[in-house]
This record gives sequence, C-alpha cells and structure tokens, in this order.
Amino acid sequence: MRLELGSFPVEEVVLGEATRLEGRRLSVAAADVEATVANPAITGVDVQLVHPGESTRINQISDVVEPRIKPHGGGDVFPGLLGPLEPVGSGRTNRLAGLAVIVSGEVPWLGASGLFVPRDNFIDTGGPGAEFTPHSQTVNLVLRLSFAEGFGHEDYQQAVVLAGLRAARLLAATTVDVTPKEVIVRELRSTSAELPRVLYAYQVQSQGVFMRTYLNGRLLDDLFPTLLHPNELADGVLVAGGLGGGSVKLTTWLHQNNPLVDGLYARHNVDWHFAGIILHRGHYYQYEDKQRVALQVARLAQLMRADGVVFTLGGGGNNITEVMLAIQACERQGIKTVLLAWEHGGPQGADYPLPFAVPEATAIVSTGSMDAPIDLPAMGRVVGTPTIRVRPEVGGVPLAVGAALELDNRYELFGDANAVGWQRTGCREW
Amino acid sequence: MTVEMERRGLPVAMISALPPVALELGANRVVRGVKIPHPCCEPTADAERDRAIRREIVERALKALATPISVPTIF
Repeated sequence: MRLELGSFPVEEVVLGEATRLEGRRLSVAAADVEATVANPAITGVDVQLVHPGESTRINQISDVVEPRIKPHGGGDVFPGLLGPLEPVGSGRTNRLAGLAVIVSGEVPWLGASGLFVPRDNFIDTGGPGAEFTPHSQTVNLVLRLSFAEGFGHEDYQQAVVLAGLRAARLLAATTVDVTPKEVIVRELRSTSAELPRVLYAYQVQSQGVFMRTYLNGRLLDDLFPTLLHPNELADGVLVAGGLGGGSVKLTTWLHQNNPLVDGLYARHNVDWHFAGIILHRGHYYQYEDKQRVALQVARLAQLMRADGVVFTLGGGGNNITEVMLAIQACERQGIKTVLLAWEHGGPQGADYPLPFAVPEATAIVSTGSMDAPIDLPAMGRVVGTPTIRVRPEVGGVPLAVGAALELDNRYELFGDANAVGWQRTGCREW
Repeated sequence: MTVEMERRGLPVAMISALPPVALELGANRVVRGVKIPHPCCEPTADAERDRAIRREIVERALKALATPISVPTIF
C-alpha cells in the first residue's frame, strides 16, 4: 500500500463569496458551510476564524478534523461515514495542512450523567494554555453549531460528527485540481530484514454515546483487537465520536495526524521496521474481558512477528488495565513494550500516577498530567459560550470562561494529557 | 478507604469488579463483583435472579470478613 500525501499549507482563512484556495489563503463561503452541515438536529452554524498567535479561548469542542480528500477516485476519506466502503490508504490524498475544522456547540444535556454526556471543554490559543494544544498553531475554522430540541443524544452525536467531516471535505475539495506544495510517500515496504519489527497498539475509547470511536463508520463499542494499516488512519478510517473527558480526548485530527504514527514512519527502515497497528478498545466492564483483549493484542503481535510494541491510551480511567495486561502478555512472549500514558497522580504529581500497573511495564513515557492545578489568564476573545458546564455527574456546574481561570485540575483543558503525545508537556524522573 | 480503615484496625472486604486492581491498591480481602458500572448487582437479570446475585455477593463479603488470612486474598 503506497499512499501519496499531498500537502496544501494554509496560513490564512477568510470568509468570502466563494469557497476556494488562493495560494496559502483559503476563502470560505459561509453559505457553502451551512449547506453542507445541514441536519435536522442542527438549527444553525456560525463560522468563526481563529489564527495562530491570537488570544482566544475556544470552548465546547466536540471534535477537530483536518480537511482531506482523495481527489482521483479509489475510495474517499472517512469511509463508511462520508466515503464509500472501499479500501483506502493507497493512491493520493490531499490535505489542507495547518488548517483545522473545530466543531463547537452547546449540545443539550438530557439529564445528569457521569459518563455519557457531551463534555464541555476549552482550549487557549494564546498564553500558557497554548502549550497544551496543537490548535494554537493551526488556522482554525470553528463551526459554532446550534441544536434543535427534541432529539436524543445519539442524534446529536451523529450530527456533530457528520458536521465536522462534511465541512472538512468541502474545504479539501478546493485542492482537487491544484498541485500540492509537498508530497510525502508512505508505505510499509521493508528494505532490511535485520531491523526490529515494531507494532503500534492503538487503544481507542468506545463505551456509549459521546464516548465513542468509529472505524469505517462502525461504532467500536464491541471492538475485539484487530489490525490496521497506518495509511488507513491518514484517510480517516478512525473518527472520534465525541469522547468524554477533555483532558485525555483523542480527536479525529489526532487520528489523522497521530504523532506516534509519524514518528514510527520517520525512522521506518532506518532504526526499525514499522509493522502496523493493532487497534483495540479499553474500558471493558469485566476483568475477564480485559484479559481477553490483552491476550488477543499479544497474539496479534506474535503473529505479526513483532519485536516491540508501543502502546498508547485512549481516554482515561480503567482502560489502563487492558493495556497493562497486554504489556504483561507481550513481555512474557519476549516482545518488548513501551507505554505512552497520561498521569493521574494528584495535584503535586506525587501520588501513584496510574490506577493499575504490572511489573513488566518498565518503559513508560509521560504525556502530561490531568491533575496538576493551572492558572490561565483571560483571553482577548471567547469563541463559544461565556459559561461552560462542568461536573456533569451532578447535572452541571457553571464555569465562567471569559475571565482568568484558576483551575484545581485540567479535566476541561482539551487534549492536555492526550496519550498520543502531541502536546509539548510531560514529566521526567531523574 | 479500604487501606485507611484497615490501618485503624477495622477488617474490610472490598467488593470490586477488578480484583487485581483492588489488590494492587492494597486491599486484603477482595470480593469479586459483577461489572465496573454495577459491582453489586446485575441489572440485565430479572428481579429474582438479581436479588440472588446481590445476596450471594454480600454473603461472600461477610464470609471474607470472618475468614482469617495471611496474604491478600480474592473471595
């Protein structure tokens, strides 16, 4: 599978009469966006633009998508949700590099719940908060959605997912007959039998509404570990379904731009052979199911003749159990492992940082804390609502985001401790 | 809570859907529960069966409390 990934860098986005790409400037007609996201559950869309260097707080984010398209047939991006169910991961894919479609809006809460609610969150594009998100460095087209009453959470989840994907594809369509500034080629062909074979065990969360991931349009609530080609991620086979928990959330943008996949490709055929991806979900409710997942991950790694496996966490909480058991099962088969994980070690970071561990897990990379208190100054502008809803388990407590924030933890700080490691934070022990 | 209570001399039976996690965190008498969202019941079962499940778990926890142990044990 050989994928040509053509980049069209975007440095500025403006609202205009037509949707078209003019060099590094993207002009977007708001009417085109409104038409493409039309959905019975959505009553309106307000398009807001946020550029790098601005002092802006964007809140109530349900997903982020990078605009991509496959311009010459052979399937299309987001198969099963937008594109047909045809194989992807080869041929040509165009991307509007540096542009992010951010889906935002106050999804109605239909009763109190600890888990299955659309969680409110925010990012800062300026000040110290800018360190915690890739989107302080992207040009952001924010779709601020309004919602119709009378729908269920499943309807709202589908509406926000499709809005982001459709708007992203609309924008990427401006590249179809244009020559990309840069093309990189991605294939897993091996040029050396001597190099160690490294697999990526990619955990996603999919438990119920607003805590989900799609694969080729199918919800992964019953996922048993399976194999993916990394090029499939580039073409959007994995789509975030609005994952609860701002701090550890994996967006569709991160699935498309997973830095661990980029890193494994960067030194493929140099230091190792990137052997593929094991996709699995955590948060199974019974210990035996966690053991089954772990055994299957290790079996797939063995069948793929892995010498090493790199693990990341999807979401936060008891999903560490599946990963730790899988690490144990791999190590007992002689397959080395590394884990990238958030920290949940209390305000000082001094408590036991992971809810579960095995003695075999000896190589762990911190991707940041979700617990460390943080002070964030007021931003010059708020895109979203002046007050977000936190603590959904008690029905919601308002948090005003227009002023400076003194936060006891980072649960609402979107992406701060995501385990694929995009953010520029971490912790080193020495 | 389990660790702190035992530190003060109260024996504790901890009902958990993830017994190895409970052991990892320092519980000594761990009682295997049903599932993470509902460790002490089975909402998909009919009322009579659910009641039997609840009773069995509580009785197992009481038995665990009354059982002398020398190492952390799953009941």
